[in-house]
Amino acid sequence: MQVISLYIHIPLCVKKCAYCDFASFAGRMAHRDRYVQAVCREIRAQAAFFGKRSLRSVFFGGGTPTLLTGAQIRAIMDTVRECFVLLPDAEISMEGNPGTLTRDNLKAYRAAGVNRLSLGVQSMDDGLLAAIGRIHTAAQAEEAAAMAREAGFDNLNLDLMYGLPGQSAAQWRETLQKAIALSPEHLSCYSLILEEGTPLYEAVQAGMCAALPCDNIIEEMDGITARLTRENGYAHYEVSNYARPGRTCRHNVVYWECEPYLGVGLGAHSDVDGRRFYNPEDWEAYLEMAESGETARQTEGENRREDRMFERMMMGLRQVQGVDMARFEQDFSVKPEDVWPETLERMTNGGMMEKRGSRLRLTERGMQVMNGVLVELMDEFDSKQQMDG
Amino acid sequence: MANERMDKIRNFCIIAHIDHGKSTLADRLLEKTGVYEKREMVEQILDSMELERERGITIKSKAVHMDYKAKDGQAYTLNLIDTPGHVDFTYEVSRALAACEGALLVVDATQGVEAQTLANVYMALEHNLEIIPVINKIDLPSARPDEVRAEIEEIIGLDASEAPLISAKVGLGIDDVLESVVNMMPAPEGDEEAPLQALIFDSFYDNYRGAICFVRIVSGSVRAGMRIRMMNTGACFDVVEVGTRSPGYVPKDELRAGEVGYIAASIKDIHDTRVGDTITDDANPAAEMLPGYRQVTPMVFCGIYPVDGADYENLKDALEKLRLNDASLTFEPETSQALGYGFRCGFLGLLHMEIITMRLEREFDLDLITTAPSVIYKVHRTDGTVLDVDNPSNLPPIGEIEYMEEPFVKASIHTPQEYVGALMETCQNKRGVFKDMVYEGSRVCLHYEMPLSEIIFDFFDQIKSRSRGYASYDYEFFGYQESELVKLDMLLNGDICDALSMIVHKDRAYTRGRSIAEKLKDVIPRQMFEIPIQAAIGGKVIARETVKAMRKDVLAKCYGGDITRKRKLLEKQKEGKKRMRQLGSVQVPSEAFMAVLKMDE
Repeated sequence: MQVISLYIHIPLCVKKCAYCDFASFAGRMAHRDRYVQAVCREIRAQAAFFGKRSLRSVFFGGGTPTLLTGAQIRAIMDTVRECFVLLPDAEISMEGNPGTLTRDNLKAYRAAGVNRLSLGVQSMDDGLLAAIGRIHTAAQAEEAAAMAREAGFDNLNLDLMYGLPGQSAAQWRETLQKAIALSPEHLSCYSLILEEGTPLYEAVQAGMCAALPCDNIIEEMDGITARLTRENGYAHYEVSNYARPGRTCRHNVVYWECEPYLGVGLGAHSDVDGRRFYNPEDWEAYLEMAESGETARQTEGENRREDRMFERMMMGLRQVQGVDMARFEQDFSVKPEDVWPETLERMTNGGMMEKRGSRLRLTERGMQVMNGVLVELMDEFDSKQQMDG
Repeated sequence: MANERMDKIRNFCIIAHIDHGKSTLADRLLEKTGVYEKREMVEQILDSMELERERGITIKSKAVHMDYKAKDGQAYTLNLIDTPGHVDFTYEVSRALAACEGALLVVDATQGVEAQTLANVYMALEHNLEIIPVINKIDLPSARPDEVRAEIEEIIGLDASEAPLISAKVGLGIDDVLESVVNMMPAPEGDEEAPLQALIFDSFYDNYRGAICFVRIVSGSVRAGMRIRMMNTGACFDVVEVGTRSPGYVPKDELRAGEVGYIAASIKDIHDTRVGDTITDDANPAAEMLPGYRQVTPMVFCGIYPVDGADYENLKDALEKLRLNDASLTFEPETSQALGYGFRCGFLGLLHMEIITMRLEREFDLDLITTAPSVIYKVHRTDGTVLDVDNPSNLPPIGEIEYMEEPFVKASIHTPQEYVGALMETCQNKRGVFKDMVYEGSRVCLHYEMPLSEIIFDFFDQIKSRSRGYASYDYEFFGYQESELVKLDMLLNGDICDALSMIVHKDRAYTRGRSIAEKLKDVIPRQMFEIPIQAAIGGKVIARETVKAMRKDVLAKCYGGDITRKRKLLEKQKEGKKRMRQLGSVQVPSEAFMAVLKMDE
């Protein structure tokens, strides 16, 4: 049986952030217990179907998992332990909002087995935090980091965002410097993506908030990120992720390497034993499914070998180390060079891609225009299929 | 030898400057004579094509039969022949005028005599038409009928003392117009007993009856069952039906000398019904054909390609359908490295080209790429042979060319005096050779000899903009002349893009190359790699621009295990790319090919 990873979605928030389009809801705190019970039920049902697998990582994502009490997290972890085998070095991550953390709940999470905390800091500028609808201040974020250390978290990530409305390069530098001063083991620096339908999107479209920084400023911010992380011992290992040695997020690496994972909770996606499926994003629909002891078998469309090959590239190339070509060949019985001869040659000659040992990766420049590279790969696939068909 | 029957017929057209109310007056005449009930009337019925109404121009000639009981108590037949109003269709207009005895000259009471008014008057005079001035729009507060009357007399030299003062819009004075037509225009003449001579002044394709000819019977008569012969093409057909349009088909036993109507003869191909040709009785043919026939040949060519290659067959069907009704449209398949499979199409002029492409896009719902228009160049090769080239890609290597010729036209530009300087400069810039300048009262007619290739670019726009819309022009082809021509190539990322190549005069190549390079730089979006754009003449680069590489195109977020979401975003990006042409490693949007159509040098 394959070793897998487990994702647990907690779709609760105090308030939706202005930029957020993930599945989460404000004002459902009263239903926490019911939700936790439903998740535990789903875990049991999935284990019954897939068997008592070994877990290499567990990830509580959200939403705001830290809106659950220590006891609730413990209840879920107990269920996980009962149904699966946690490998001795399993990474157990949890996302948290600085505005929801206390010494007590941090200690309780740690005691429940959580060994990695990912704090949604986003910015160290109170003005910007308010502008994007965060519920905490910069001081609270710093305090939360200190409390996490106190509670025994020795693996800490800070989530940061840049390219926020009206943000200057200097403001970003300051945020990054303050974050680094907290000495986290891991940093995620996300360039803001304006998602259609979010309040921030509407505000920017309507000119109701400060304008987004122009390309020149974003470029400057990218430069600041690269320099400050390097100078402080964080290695760039994925488009938006930086880690001290040995501290990459093993759960996320599972996604990028296209290793199997099981997702439980509202809207969670799974990819186990070559099957892909996902849960309903609707609150009632999810609870109904989980409480009746059923599991989602709704597949993510046609899952062809060609799609798998492309997705291996799409996910793998996000990593600085790139795609493992030997594993690719082992899994698909064909070399990437034989699947995409033209694009790989053109991209390599054009300085976008390179081979490093058994890995095929994007160069620094290639990483900047990754979408373009991926679209080229898709195109070559399409034209091939047209010729075959 | 007028007779009583012909005495009761009036064949006439309406001429006017654009917007002076030609179509509105036509509508009123039809309404007044009961051709249409008011409630059935769509505005401006004669311009029935959507495009015609939209652009306020008439593209096809039409004839409508009206019955009118005049104040003298007699019943008259009035045939209104509508004519196209653009220089591309000068020949068609001349044939329509040849079918008339008179013309109503509509002049706007607020604008007075305009350039186009004059050009039209001259054409009508050439055909010996009796011209009756009509002063329109007198309901407007700014109307100045007396001044305009004086202008007509002064500038045109027509007696305007009896010109009806009307408002076609509100229906004022329409009776006066009809009375003038009856009283002042001559009746047709012609020998009914002589062999048949019928002038085709237009034809169109009817899905059920085949190609139908609009004719003016000059002599003799025609009836169903007669075997007719087209005197120029020699083709023979059996007449199925003759009649008049009012506006539906009204069959008649026969059409006799002096009358205007249609002939249906199960003609399958519209090319057998050439405008200007003479129809005669095959059994009793006329000794000679009517004067003025000219074979209409396309003057302007361009490539038309579907944006989506899968639409090729649809484009072919659409062109075939349009050609059924348009004898002056030609097309043949061609292939471009850049654009794939398409057609090289021939047109009378730029407007004709624009109308055809718009109809293809609207009526057939096609997305098209049109290449820069070209004329036919005569290439004299070193081996003594002469090659006609209408597509720059087909130009032989320089080493094989002895010299080249290009078509020249005589252009006449009518303008108020104050714009003469500006317009002369425009003509000079267009390589025009000044021939003559004629004063027409306060107006001037400039005569130039110019290369047709210069006219088809943006001459019309420039003339209009430099004269604030007051000047008008027409031109006629007069022959080929040797020119120092070169092939200008555009290179994208080092590769020649055949769809952007053009043949230009040596002296214009540099500016044009530079301006196209600049335009391309603006319309080609940034891509992964930097894209050099070069303009080159015979391998020598004369201009260079660069589309800088895209800075950043990467998704920051990873969306956890939701792989489909990321894929969908990429699919969307791929669709966007699909709408562009892939030339080597460069993606070129369709607009790039249009960008070279309109030059503002």
